[in-house]
Amino acid sequence: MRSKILIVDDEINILMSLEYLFKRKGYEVYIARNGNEAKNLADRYEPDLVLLDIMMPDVDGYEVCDYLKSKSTPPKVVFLSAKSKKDDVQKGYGHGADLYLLKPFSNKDLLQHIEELI
Amino acid sequence: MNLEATQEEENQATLFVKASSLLSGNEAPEIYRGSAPFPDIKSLLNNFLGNERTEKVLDRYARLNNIDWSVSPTADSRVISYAERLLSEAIGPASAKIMISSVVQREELSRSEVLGILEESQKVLRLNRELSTRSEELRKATEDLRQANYKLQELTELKDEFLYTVTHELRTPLTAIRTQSELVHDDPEMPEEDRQRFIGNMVQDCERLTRLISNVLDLEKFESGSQKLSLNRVDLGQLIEDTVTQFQALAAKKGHSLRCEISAPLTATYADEDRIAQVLHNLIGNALKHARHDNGAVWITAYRLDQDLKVNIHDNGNGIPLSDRELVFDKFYQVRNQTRRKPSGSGLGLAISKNIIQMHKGKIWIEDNPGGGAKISFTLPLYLQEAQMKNSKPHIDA
Repeated sequence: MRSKILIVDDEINILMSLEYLFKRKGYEVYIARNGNEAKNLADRYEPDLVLLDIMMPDVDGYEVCDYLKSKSTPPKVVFLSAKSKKDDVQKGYGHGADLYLLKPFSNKDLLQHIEELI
Repeated sequence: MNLEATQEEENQATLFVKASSLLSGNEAPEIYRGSAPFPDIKSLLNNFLGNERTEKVLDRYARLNNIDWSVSPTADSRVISYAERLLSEAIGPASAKIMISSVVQREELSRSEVLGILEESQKVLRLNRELSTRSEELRKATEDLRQANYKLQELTELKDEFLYTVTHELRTPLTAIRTQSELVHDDPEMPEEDRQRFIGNMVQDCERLTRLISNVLDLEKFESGSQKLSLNRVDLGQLIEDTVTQFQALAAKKGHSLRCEISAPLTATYADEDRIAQVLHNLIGNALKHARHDNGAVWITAYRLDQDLKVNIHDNGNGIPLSDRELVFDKFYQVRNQTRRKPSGSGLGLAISKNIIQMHKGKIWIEDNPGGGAKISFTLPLYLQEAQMKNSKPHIDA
């Protein structure tokens, strides 16, 4: 069975290119442009892994991560963020993330990390 | 010991010293004519020099002068003078004199010695006063330094915060460019339609990066005071109409209405046309971004108000919360501890606009708007002389 990935980012160009990247690699991909949409899609499709931006309007990435990790079968969560302070990274892991990747990243690295996680 | 004297005491002492020196002239210092019990002298020295040193100096004195203290229990005038000199070094001449007097028998202080003591006391008082003035100055200087240091620390923190913000803002378009360029590069079989889409997006992201960098540089120039204005007579009404025309296409694409109402000719005496156009671009661009998604509307009103020209930019979006009205002009506002707000522009437009308007001696602020939506206003003085603006620097918040 194909692994399911949910990508959450309010930057449309990043969202579209990551969608393309993971689809080409054979993943089943869902995309959300904000936190609420991410929660809904996660409930509906039960993804194996969520790529999650932090700074988003209304519901931020931390809140989405808390929500995802409280589910009965929580998905792996990878933060993709431009927030580069040590505190930011620690906060990300504090919310239960499995990985914190700093933007910009290379597609190759990202794919490799994801393959290791699922 | 309290050395503080009242002003009156000090004045009296001064007068006394002056009067006495006029009466007596310069008298040669007198030596003691009396004698003192040697144990008393020794005990005095012990008190102020310590036992060890006292033993040492008295032994030396005895050796040099062939004295045996055990057989000469009385100190003569030479011994007394020697002891006084030793004490002077330890506790000052006036105090030494008083101490010695207390053990010398049949010896009274001469008037000139009393005067000397008074003079010394006066000097000590003056020194003491000077010292307390100095220490007050020092305390103030320390306080000033502490304040300056605090300000510097605060500035450093703000600079760090700004750097963090800027790098954060650079990372976002850079991520999009990197991801898309790698996609195009690594996938030779990518359908042409996708390739075109990604390349087009990359061009957009590059433009966004360029805008951000030039905004950061602009702001730096304004804040360092190196930005100069190029002043000319400006028809503000015409400038607003031209800017609105430039934005009509974008407004139409978003389905927003965009209009302006300009009353009478509005000619500012002097202004930098390009910079004011930059302000209008920033404000109108922001308004179009924040207007309602459905039936969005942006309108600009401009009129003369007393000695100013006033321009208002309205939109029908969610408005700006009261608590944020000052903050929106702060270049550090966007990212500071926030996770829910991501600027779609450089996030520096309002900070730059504020600098430009203030350089023109005008004001910019968020106006109360009971009807909802945001209303940003600015003024430009009508009758500003060129000379008045030559040296004008923008106000720096940081």
